[in-house]
Amino acid sequence: MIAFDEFTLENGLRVIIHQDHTTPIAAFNLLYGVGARDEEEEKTGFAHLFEHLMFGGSAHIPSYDTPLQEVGGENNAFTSNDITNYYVTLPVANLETAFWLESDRMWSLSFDPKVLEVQRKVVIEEFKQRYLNQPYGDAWLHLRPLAYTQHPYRWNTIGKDISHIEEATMEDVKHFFYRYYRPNNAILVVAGAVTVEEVKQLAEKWFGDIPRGKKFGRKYPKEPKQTTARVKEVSADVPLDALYKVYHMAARTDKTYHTHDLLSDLLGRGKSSRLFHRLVKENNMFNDIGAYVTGTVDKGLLVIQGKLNPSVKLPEANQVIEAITEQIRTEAVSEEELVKVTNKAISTVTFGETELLNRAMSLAYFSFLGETEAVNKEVEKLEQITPAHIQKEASKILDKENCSTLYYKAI
Amino acid sequence: MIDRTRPPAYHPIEQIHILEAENLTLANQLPLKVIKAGEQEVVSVEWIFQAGSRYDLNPGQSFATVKMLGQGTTQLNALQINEQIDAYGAFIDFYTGFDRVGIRVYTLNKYLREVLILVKTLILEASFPEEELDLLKKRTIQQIQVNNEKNAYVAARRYRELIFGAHPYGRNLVEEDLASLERNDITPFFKRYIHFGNCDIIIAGKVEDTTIKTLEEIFGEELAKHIQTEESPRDIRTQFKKELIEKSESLQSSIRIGKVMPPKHHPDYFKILVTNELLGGYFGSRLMQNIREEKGYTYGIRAQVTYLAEQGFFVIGTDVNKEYTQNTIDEIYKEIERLQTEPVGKEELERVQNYMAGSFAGEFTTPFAQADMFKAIYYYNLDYKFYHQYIAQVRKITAEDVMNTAQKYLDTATMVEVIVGGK
Repeated sequence: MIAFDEFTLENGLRVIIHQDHTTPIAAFNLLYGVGARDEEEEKTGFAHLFEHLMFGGSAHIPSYDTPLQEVGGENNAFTSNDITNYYVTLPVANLETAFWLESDRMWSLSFDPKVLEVQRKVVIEEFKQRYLNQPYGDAWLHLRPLAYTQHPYRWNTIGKDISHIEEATMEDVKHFFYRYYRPNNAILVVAGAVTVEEVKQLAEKWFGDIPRGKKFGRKYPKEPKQTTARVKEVSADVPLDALYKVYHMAARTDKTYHTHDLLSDLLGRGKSSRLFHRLVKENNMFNDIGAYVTGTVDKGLLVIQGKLNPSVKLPEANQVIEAITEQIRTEAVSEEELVKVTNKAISTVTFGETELLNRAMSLAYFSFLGETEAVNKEVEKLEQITPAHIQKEASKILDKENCSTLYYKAI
Repeated sequence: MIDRTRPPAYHPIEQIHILEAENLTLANQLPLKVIKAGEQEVVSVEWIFQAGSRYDLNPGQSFATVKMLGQGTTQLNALQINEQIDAYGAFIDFYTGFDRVGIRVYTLNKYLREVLILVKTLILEASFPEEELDLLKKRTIQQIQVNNEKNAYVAARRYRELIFGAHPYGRNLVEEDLASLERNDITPFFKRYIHFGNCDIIIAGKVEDTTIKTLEEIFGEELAKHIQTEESPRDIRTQFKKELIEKSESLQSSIRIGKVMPPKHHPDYFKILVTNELLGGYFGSRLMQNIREEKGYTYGIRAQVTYLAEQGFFVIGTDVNKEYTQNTIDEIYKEIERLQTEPVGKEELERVQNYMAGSFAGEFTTPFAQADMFKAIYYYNLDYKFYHQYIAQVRKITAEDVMNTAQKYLDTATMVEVIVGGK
């Protein structure tokens, strides 16, 4: 249970307060409702590049990091396909510093060309470090455009290509900022030893006079239903072949989302899961295998991925996975097996709430999804799932024709 | 209108309240450390054995012994063990290290008793099935092969080999070690080291009196024969080398530069801590500002000091654009030399001290983190005094201390250098 209060400023900024008077450190989490899905096809990677620029100085404050370090604070941020999330942890006595810094960069960035120039380079190095210079690091660069043909999830947050980052201009930066980085597209969560009154007063003081942005509609091209199996083969200098299978599944707020989530757990979460047990332990075909969901706001993917043992061929490995997915479509799972994964999922929710910052992030995220209170309904939703739900959804989504398969061959 | 150019008032942190672990002893003399904290009905329980890889007679013994603990008992096979853990919604980790190894479980309080009983059988009735050992060997070898494709992994391993020489801290598990490992290597290691006479239990979370009783009941009666795991200290003979491991197809170079440092309980600890932080310990550090924020050569660079029981080691690590490899190395040495020759300004020093004070306070935010902080003193011959004085000690460091420390400990002529990629 995460207790909270919430209110909205006149300019549209949503503010959520979570009180925890047991810790001297406060968490300040600011979510902007913009991610890689909001990018134009020819300017991908921009939301993430923009996240870097947010640290390059704002209208009245030359450096974001320095004053925060001076008051004993730490910060970071991440960009996903759906959101960009900035967070600060700092001694609660210095909470106002976070308001000052974050409100100033929402007010306006400094738009310093030197910052753009350097951060372009930094992001290109990030691109290399995470995607290009890592074994299997480019798998998702192949997978997304295979699974999505229309929806902007077809590119990664880092972008389609380094050239898109190289070509980003200051015009793009300004346009993006004034469209998406406005109070009415943001959610602020303050968590820690604070009171509602205190946060109200600080929010009014620092964010109250930032003008609201123009309304914009969110219209993403809808991904058409996949009707034929897709297969792509790539090769790279890696020691083991790898296999990726992705199936279109429900959106995060869909009522079947949790069923799909548990379905992925049954298949491939941990060492007692079906895929791991049968393919790693029993028949020794895989070095490792697992399954998970992407959990995106729009329709996501259920992912199965594994690395093969050297004597096994990719098509053969694909067949044994399909035998396992076929089985879960046709034979009901036992109550016992379902209880096992449900307990683990519920426990994950509980453990996720031990850290203050996590609670703050969850509140922001569920609020972004549409209903802050939903953060406290996850367990209930998980508990309602029955073997019949699983079978029905499995037979729907684990269809071969709903699947994109990537053969990642070692050379 | 508010004046946005003026920062809000700042309140320095001088002291934080630190909840200390309680020291209990079970009836059989097994030490039990208890951290009562948190609101959620969860705990983590950890069994820690002085049985790290430094006690290996054959490489891989310690690693395989610990990893095999979850792979079968006289009563349960691996699947049954994993199913039980999952059904309780618990998380279990069998971890290895140079000095210590351990089992850590995170569990909901409502299943604590069941989980404790299970772990007890894993320790007391471990059966080390041959087929599970074969599988572990095979899978680990393949994981090493995959990791060997990562420049950062190769660089970090080679770097440690060079700075520690033949000392066990410099030893890396390689494919051949695993291939030749047999069940007969594991069982004697297990008998000697993995038992309740060579163990601490640390529990953290919402711990009630009944929890302690349960622990006492389950773990307090087992025979705990005490053993001496002390070995004679071995010399560390650093190979002062600069090595380039060429990877022509790489887009980046992974760089490691550094040397050994005195152990954690050394009187210069805080001087080294602050000096390292200024150089490369945080985002505002000189290396990060220079190499990333000014030049854009890298996504990140950091300097850190890692402490093992007998010794610390300092390392600067980064993955950089290959064409700037040499420039980066030159800049790294330049930044070290600058610390040695120019006193750090008051503002910069105060900023890093404030940052460190806040960051330190942030290390205690969950019961699990508090357990980790406890281990970070308990296993280094330190006590909570170390933490009570931490902020004051950090603030005491002067510009002159930093300069002296950089001269004394960061002599660039004796740094070890490993580059994986190209120049």
